Formats: sequence, C-alpha cells, structure tokens
Amino acid sequence: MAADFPVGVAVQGDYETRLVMIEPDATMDDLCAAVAPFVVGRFVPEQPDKTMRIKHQNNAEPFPRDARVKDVLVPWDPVELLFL
Amino acid sequence: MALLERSRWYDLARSTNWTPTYVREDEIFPPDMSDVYGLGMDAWETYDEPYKVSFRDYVRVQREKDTGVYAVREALARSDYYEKADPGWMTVMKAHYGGVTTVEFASASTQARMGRFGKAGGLRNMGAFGSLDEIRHTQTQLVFSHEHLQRGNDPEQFAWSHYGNRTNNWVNLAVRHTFEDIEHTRDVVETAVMTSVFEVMFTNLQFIGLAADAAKQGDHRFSSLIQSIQSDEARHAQIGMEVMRLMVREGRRAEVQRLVDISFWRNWRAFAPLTGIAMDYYMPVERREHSFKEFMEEWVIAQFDRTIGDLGLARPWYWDIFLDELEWFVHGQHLGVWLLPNTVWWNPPCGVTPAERDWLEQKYPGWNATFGRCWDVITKNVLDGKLDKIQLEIFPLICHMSNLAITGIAGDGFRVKDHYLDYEGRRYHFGSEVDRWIFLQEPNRYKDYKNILDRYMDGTIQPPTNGGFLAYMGLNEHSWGRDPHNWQWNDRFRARERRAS
Repeated sequence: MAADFPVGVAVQGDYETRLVMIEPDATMDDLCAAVAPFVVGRFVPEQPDKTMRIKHQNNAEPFPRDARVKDVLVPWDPVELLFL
Repeated sequence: MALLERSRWYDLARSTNWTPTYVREDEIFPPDMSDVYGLGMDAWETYDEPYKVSFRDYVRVQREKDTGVYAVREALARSDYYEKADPGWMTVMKAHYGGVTTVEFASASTQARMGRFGKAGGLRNMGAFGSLDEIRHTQTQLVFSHEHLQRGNDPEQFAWSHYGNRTNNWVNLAVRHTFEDIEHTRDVVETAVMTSVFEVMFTNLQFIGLAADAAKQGDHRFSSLIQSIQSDEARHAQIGMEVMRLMVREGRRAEVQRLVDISFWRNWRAFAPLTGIAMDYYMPVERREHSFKEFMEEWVIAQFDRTIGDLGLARPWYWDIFLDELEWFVHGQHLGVWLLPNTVWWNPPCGVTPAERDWLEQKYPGWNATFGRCWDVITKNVLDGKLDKIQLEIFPLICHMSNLAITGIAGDGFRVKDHYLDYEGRRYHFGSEVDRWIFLQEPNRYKDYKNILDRYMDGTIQPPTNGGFLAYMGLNEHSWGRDPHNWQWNDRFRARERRAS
C-alpha cells in the first residue's frame, strides 16, 4: 500500500510541524517510527526511557498505539508526537 | 518676474478635478478602482495631503538625495571594507537586496495606480511622486548591489537583487504573496490604507533600524543608501494616512480598522523572517544595535500606537497574539532557514556561539530552555562530526497565508499548532489564528493559491527531487547558501570545553 496519507506531525520539543506521508493502515506506533528518525536526535534529544505516543493536537489524550491512521485521522490532520 | 511661493498656488494648481462633459465620471474613475466604499467626489475634494510638493521641488530634492548617496559611494569606492567585513554582515545585505529591491520596483505600479485612479487631485499628485520614488529606490539599490558583482563577492547571490521578486524561491513567494495582497490587487482606497501601514510602520524597521546597524558595522555606504530611501517612504506613507482620516470622517472607521488589522499582520509575517533573523542572528554580536524585538518595540509598536491613536482606531484584535509571537516567532524561522541553507540566496550564519547564546538569553529570557534545546542537539551533532544529522529531510507544513513554515515554541515551552481550516473541500493550514482570520475575511481572494508545498505535492515541481525543487526556486550551486564561517564557530564551543576541563 502506498504511503499516500499526509499527516502533520509536531514532535514534542521541536520547533515546527512536519509533513509525513504514511500508509493509511499504519498504526500510531508506525507513525512515530516514520517521523522520529528525521527529528529525534537531530533537533530534539533522544529519550529512550520514554514511549513515543501520538495525539491529535486538539485532543488531550493520545490515541491507542495500535490505532490505525485511516481510522482516527483524516488526511492532513495535525498531530503531536509526545514522549510519555 | 518674482515667483509665487508654493503655498500660494499649490492647492489650486493640483486641484485638477473638473466636471467632465464627454465622458461620465465613473468612466474616468471606475468605482471598483477609485471609490469602492462610495465616499463620493465631495468627500474626496476634502483630501488634504500633509506633504505638498511641486514637481520642481521634488526633482531638486531627489537630485540632492542622490548626489549625497552617490558621493558617499564614490568616496568609499577604494575602501576594502567589503573584503574584510564579517560574513554575517554580507549575508544581511544579500538578504536585503534580494528580498527588497524588486519589490520596490513592483511598488512603482502601486503608487502609479494611486496617481491614475485616485479621485483627489492631491492623492494623484502624491501617487505620481511615489511612483518615481520607487523607481529611484530600485535603481539606487541595483547600482549599490551591482558593485558586489564587480568585486566578485558571491556575485550570484548579490545578483538576486535583480530578479528576486520574479523567482519561485520560497522567501520571495512569501514576500510576493504579501505585497500582491496589500499593494497590487486592490482598489486605490484599500491599497492606500494597507500600503501606509507597511510604510509608516515597517519600513522604519528595514530602513532606519537596519541603517543604524549598518553604521555600527562601519558600512556607511549601505547606511546612507537606505536612509535616503526612508526619507521618501516617510513622505509617500502619508498618502494613505490621509485616506484613513477621510474614511473615518465619512463613517468608515470599521472598514479602516479591518484593513489596518490585515495589513499589519501580513507585514509582521513578512518582516519577521527577513529583518528579524538578520538582526538577531546574522549581525556580528559585538556590534548589534538592538534585538529585533527592541527595534519592533521602538520603531513599530510605538509608532503604530501613535498613528492609530491619532486616527481614533484601536489596536488590532490580535494584539496579545502579536506580542506573544514577538518573543519567539523569529527563532523558529531562523532554525528552518539555517537547516536549509541551500534554499536561500544568502549564507546564513548559525548565530548561536556561546557569546551569541548569552546575548539571545539576555534579549529573549528563556531562549536557552526553548529554542536553545534544539541548538543543544544540533551543536552536539556538529561537534561530533555528525553533519548528516543536521540535514532537514522532510518538509514542514507551510502556512497558506504567510507562506512560511508553521512554527511554534520549541523545547520546554513546546507549543506548535496548525490552525487549519476546511473550506470548500480543501484543507488549508495556517501558522496562527490571525492568518486563518485573514483568509476568512475574503476566501475568494485566497482560496485558489498554491503554496510551494502544494506545488510539490501536485507535481508542478519537476522532477520531484531535491535538485528539481532547488531548480524550481531558481537556485544553483553558485547561488544557494552555505555556512559563511566554514564551521569555524564550532571552535568556540571546543575552546569553552577546553577551558572547562
């Protein structure tokens, strides 16, 4: 399946929102794995003792880690990657 | 024969309105260009421009200004100042010339529109002079920037002054979108009001603030050049101020307020990355005049308060948002530019050596705990030789109003938000609530615009590669930016570590 689902991701501690193209069936953990190499250890510190979680920018709570992108987001939704 | 003093004939001589008999008034002055708010000719007859200049006086004064500027240039022609100048200062000039010069040329059309379609004789008169002003600004800045082509100082970067506004570079797109909105696509009344906000407030920043910095750097050529330009801006800025007074008198206060609010924000967004980064990161720290925030407080906010107070207007509804952004907006934009130096036509210094970080913390308390956190990681990677880790390899989301990356506060104060909007089946992204508000004021004006990310996504940019993207923006290996200090700024961190150990 093509990585054709655009998501705007702001990584906790980073300075801007980044565009990530992901497969619609990808999980929230997959989304974290897709964006982290481009930001973590580059512009924000690595935090191996914490778990990366995704939440919609307008929500208080993160999505379940196995929630699928196509089920909880619409294309171009803005999310935050948090270290919890 | 004795000449009459100007004050005794000017008002009569420039009152060139008469009752037409062969054509209708609305054919001469189409309402959608000349009087979109329907003020009527009687109201326009009361327009009274503060600066009253005859063509003879105008030419004499402008000639004296040019003589002064070119005299300084000639006197310093043999100076090797530019060969020895700090690369950071050279970067400031490249950014200025490439971002401003061709915008000035476009503004000649803005002023000419007032000269043609203004319903008041004084407005037309001042618009005609304003148009000549903008041509002078273009010509002098082209001459001064061309000197660097002759000297061989990064000629392809200085050459950007000749064509910046015509490229698809992301910086120029942002500037062009702003000025096409406030200067080039509206009727005379809205153009006059919105252009005045730019000229009364923000040209102070670029031409007085930067002139002060230039003098402190010892660059008297550049300083005299941009001071000369500002003396014109101060005059033709008054064109729109009188339009605002007229509209308020005619019961159009709410409409003026709306135009001022839109224009102020659009200018803030355009100048913060162009001027703000230069002042806070590119100027050699030991000779900085003020921080960008301090310049904004002195030259923009104070001036704006006086101006809107005199007109009986209020501060824009988003004033608290603006003051909040004044603390952080520049810093995220600088990070983005520095991490993508090959997307701009200047060589961006990092501006975060230990001494510069101290300065930033002093001017922007909390900087170390916010944006400094990102720079901690970047600096460590540089010191460890991991230069591959300071590449920006994924696009930021781009604001559909400012055309800038959607940034926020980094580090401990993390706050980054996309103020998105779903409109007619399309999702738009905005860097602030205000950008979104401006879109909603007139969606038809903005809704079909494609920012540079849209153009990449829809296949306009070909080939869809890094090289294709840079070529689309008009850049090549001779013109794109690189570290101006050849990474020697790292040595200052290593020296500090040696001292600490």
